[in-house]
Amino acid sequence: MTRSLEALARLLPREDREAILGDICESGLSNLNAHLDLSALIWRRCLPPYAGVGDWACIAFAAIISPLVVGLSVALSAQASREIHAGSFLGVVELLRLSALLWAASLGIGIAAVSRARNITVLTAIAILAPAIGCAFQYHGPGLQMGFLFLFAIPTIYGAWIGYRKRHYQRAWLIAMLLLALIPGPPILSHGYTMLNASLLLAPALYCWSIESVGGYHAHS
Amino acid sequence: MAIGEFEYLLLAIASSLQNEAYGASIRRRLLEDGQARSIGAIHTGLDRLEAKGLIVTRMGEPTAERGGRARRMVKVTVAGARAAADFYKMISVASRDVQWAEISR
Repeated sequence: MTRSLEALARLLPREDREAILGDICESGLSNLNAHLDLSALIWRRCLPPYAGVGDWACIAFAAIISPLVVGLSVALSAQASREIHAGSFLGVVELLRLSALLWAASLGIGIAAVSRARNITVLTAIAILAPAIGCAFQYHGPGLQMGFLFLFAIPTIYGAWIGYRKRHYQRAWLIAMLLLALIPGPPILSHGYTMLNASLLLAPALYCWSIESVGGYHAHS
Repeated sequence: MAIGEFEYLLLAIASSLQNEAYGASIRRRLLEDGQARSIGAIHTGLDRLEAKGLIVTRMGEPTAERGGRARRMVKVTVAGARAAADFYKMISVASRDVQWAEISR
């Protein structure tokens, strides 16, 4: 019985651990087979509460959207410095609108992902924050610029907290999000952000789906 | 209560092993019958049967061959015996006019 096997078995409750390690010992399994068997069992034991396809889909969705908001954070910070430097009023207004949109989307991702996949809050948080953390490790710029990678993180974490506490202000949030996404920007920055606005509309869609699902769950329980 | 094929196998083997039914002995019997299953699969199946109230388990005494670890002893309940009997009857009735050996030749 190797140390790694015993360490792996610590993921099981104490009584189960004793019986299962004993069975492995008695069966004389090879080290590799013992590890595979035990890993499969731990996976099966851990899986049932998290087995809903919707939960996994929500995490995948959050993981796909979060790189978009990381990219948008960086693009916004770069554009902001240019607009401020050029003294363009319209540009700054559009940047503020896009920043608000970004934060609303981040808030929505946080709320939606955690509301839908409440059992897997930690995994959801990892899925949302992983792209920014990954970029932070790759990026070696000045500290302040690197901080822009996490522009979306505060509203996302706040959103996750709202989702976890089930404090939904769905109408207010949804209307704000739709307005921000649908208001056309000033001509100075218009064309490039049309698709961006449309893609961020996925966040309210995700949000509505999660709320409907949570609402349905409570209605049935 | 409806059970599946693997659950039936576990109930049948646990019933035949009587006081010696536990994970490793069930696996050994399955291997002898040409049904190789992992220890994890057996324990998952036992968990499911216990949740359905078809078996009860208790921790036995530790033994030296298990490295001083206890066994999870399995006992089939009356509901478990009934579910296994129903499954067997269903299979027997459904197969009464079928000659699998001839068909699969």
